[in-house]
Amino acid sequence: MLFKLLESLDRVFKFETVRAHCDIPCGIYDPHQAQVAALSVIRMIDLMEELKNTHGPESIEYQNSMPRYVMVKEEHAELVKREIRVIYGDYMKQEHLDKYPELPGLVHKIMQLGSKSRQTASREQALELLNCVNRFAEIYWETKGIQVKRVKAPYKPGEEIVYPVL
Amino acid sequence: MLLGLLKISGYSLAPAFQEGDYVLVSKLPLLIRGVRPGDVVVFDHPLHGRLIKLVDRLACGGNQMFLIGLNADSIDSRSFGLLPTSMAQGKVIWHFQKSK
Repeated sequence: MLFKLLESLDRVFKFETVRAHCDIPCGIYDPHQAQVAALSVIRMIDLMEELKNTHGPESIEYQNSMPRYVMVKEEHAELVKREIRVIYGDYMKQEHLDKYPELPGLVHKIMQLGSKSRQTASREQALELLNCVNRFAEIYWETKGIQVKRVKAPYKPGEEIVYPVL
Repeated sequence: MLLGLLKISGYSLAPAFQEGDYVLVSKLPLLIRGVRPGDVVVFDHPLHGRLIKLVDRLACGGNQMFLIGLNADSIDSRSFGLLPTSMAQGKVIWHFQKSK
């Protein structure tokens, strides 16, 4: 009865909320989005290269499509950084850092390569970004006690990514 | 806060404290005898806002507290480290939960 009274008072006076913060949604972290975003960066660079080879910069097709590819490359390079930052900052604990001392350096490298992938159209650097994200994914799944496999993504650009064996 | 009635949002203290439970929080016990392990305290984290966690242990001569949730995925001192005990705004002195 007391709880019902509090609920009624809450509806009227809107009690302040205090968070038993567990991230949203609780316990659901997955590096897959970062991996897909890294693949997208490579794909955009490939499309930019194709466009350069098939259409001149004066063509309307070039002027329409190139900015779009660049925009999507920007968004996905930033998405890689955000997804990795969230898993690293919210999920990884001291015990993980102790077991994988390469982690802080790896995350820093991903941040730098993410920025480089926005600043340049280097496929080599974008591929290095994917490689680092794949290594991060391997570590993440290992912390969960889940084995991984490396397979070619079933879509372009067809580069290798890490999948959990579930 | 001398005395405050707050509503819990989130699951990191489940099953002891559930989403939607109410807690009566007071700074008075902390002023009288300080923060102790086992206290459930409310504090303002600069990144995560107003949080509620369990004091697992004290460190640095009792001036720092190691805060935990009851779930492995809780955002707590295991990710953000020790916090000064002075950051504790109040301790839970009463807990109102839905009858099962």
